Amino acid sequence: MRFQSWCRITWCYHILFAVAVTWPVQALVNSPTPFILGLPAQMVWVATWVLGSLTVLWRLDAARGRDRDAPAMEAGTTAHRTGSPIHRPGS
Amino acid sequence: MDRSGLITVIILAYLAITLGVGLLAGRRASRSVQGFVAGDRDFGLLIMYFITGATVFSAFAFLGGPGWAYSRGAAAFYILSYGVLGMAPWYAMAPRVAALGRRFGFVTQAQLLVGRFPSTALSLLMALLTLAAFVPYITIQMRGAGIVMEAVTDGAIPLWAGAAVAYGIVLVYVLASGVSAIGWTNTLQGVFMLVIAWALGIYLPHRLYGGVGPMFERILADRPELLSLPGLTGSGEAWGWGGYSTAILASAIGLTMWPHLFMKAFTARDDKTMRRTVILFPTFQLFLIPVFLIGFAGVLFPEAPDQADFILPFLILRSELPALVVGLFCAGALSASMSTGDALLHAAASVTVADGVQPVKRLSDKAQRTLMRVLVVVVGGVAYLFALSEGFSLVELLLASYGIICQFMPALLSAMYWRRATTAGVLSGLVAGSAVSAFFFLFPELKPFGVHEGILGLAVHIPVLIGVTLAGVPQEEKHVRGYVDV
Repeated sequence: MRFQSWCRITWCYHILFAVAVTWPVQALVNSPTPFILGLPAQMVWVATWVLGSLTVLWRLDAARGRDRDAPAMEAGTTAHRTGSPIHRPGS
Repeated sequence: MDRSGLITVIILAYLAITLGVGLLAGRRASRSVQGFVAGDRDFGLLIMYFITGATVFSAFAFLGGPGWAYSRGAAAFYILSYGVLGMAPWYAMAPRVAALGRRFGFVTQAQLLVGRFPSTALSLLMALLTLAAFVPYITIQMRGAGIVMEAVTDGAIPLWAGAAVAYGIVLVYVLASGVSAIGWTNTLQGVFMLVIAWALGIYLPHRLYGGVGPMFERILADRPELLSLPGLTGSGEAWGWGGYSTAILASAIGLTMWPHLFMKAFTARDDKTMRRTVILFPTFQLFLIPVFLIGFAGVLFPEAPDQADFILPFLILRSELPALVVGLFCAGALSASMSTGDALLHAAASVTVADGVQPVKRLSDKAQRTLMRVLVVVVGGVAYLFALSEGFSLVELLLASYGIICQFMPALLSAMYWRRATTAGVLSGLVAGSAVSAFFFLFPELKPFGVHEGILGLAVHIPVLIGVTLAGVPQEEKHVRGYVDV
């Protein structure tokens, strides 16, 4: 997948993360059972989002490595205006 | 050797190693302001990883984290939630901040802001707000070091002496080596904290309950309210969702903006190093899980400490652990305190000189370095005096400073991403946001739905920033391009 797509995925993921650990979503995920690895379920819920962040950022960085001339990830600013379009078929 | 003697020897050995590492680190750094403040912009991945992790996890996380889990239960999960949310934006921001630093020679956050929005008042305001936010933070770290030493030595080393010894050593290596010392000592301290926290977090529940699962089963049976979000308040009533949710948001924004972390973007060798640091940060964040387990292990313990924050040393001393483990724990807690305290002291002095003094009176490079060293001692001294005086509600002051630090966010984002932003808009937004935040800190009963004062400040700050900006004249295109087109 392209670097630009991973940028979008990364932003979306972290916005969803913020939504998932605050009211009202976290209020729905609020039972300590079933214990997972002995830990309360809400704690595992948050920890899973933290690990997911590690995965998404890792994939984003890998995609940057593939699209070496990709513009920097600058949400909706200059990169899109001044950066040259990427011509990397098959990446 | 008797038990307390062995513990003391381990602590002293740890302090000696820290001092040695700190002094050795400075031998390579150049004798310039850039060398002292930004480490000649030459920190690699290993150091950046630990400098970030160990600086974020302070005495507050090491002692306060278990304290929260112990007394407020699930409320502590907010600390686990916000860290990554605060750090992830740095993947995009850090290379840009670093590029601006290289282009214009910036070493502090306010220099970047004032470069885009030239105003002496803005520079002084940033220096003042930063210092006001730092002093309670440093004080907490010093008290943390003193408390741990007093507790584990059974009063043989009182709080004042413990804090003085630990921070005397911090002073020596920060004065001698600047930020290079912080990089290498934090690496040592970070490794220490990780190992000790995981070892104790798994050991204590096993020792007291026969495992992590059985521990939570017993807590669920005896104190179910502790395992239901959003947990309890400090006084034991149910906490509100408004307070819990906005505590996560305000802390995440505050973490992104803390000046001592922001400045570290000027120290990395290259962009790749910084991006990797951000990617790996979640692994450091998970270190909170054993920290919480330690706190939960205390819930059904037959005795209780005077204050929730003492739960960790309290359990350690009553679990008949070998003296070696107690000594290592103590070193771990000191690591947490000193690794944050050194970065704060260093940043406080750098910011005061670069943003508080330079704009008013130009100093030579050598004079700046000297003044920074003097200020490290002065700020340390002031914080030490606060640390000795009882009755100051420091945690509350720290929460208030998070409200203020949050207000840096719209200003800095405008500086780097918003072409239209003007000096008047940024300055008035910052003043309005800080005033609202301070107001709700002083009158917490007026807060709607218990929303954090930093978020309430932003609710006023952002409209003021946009309104005043659009009413004024835009900045020159050429000037703006230097900051926005990086």
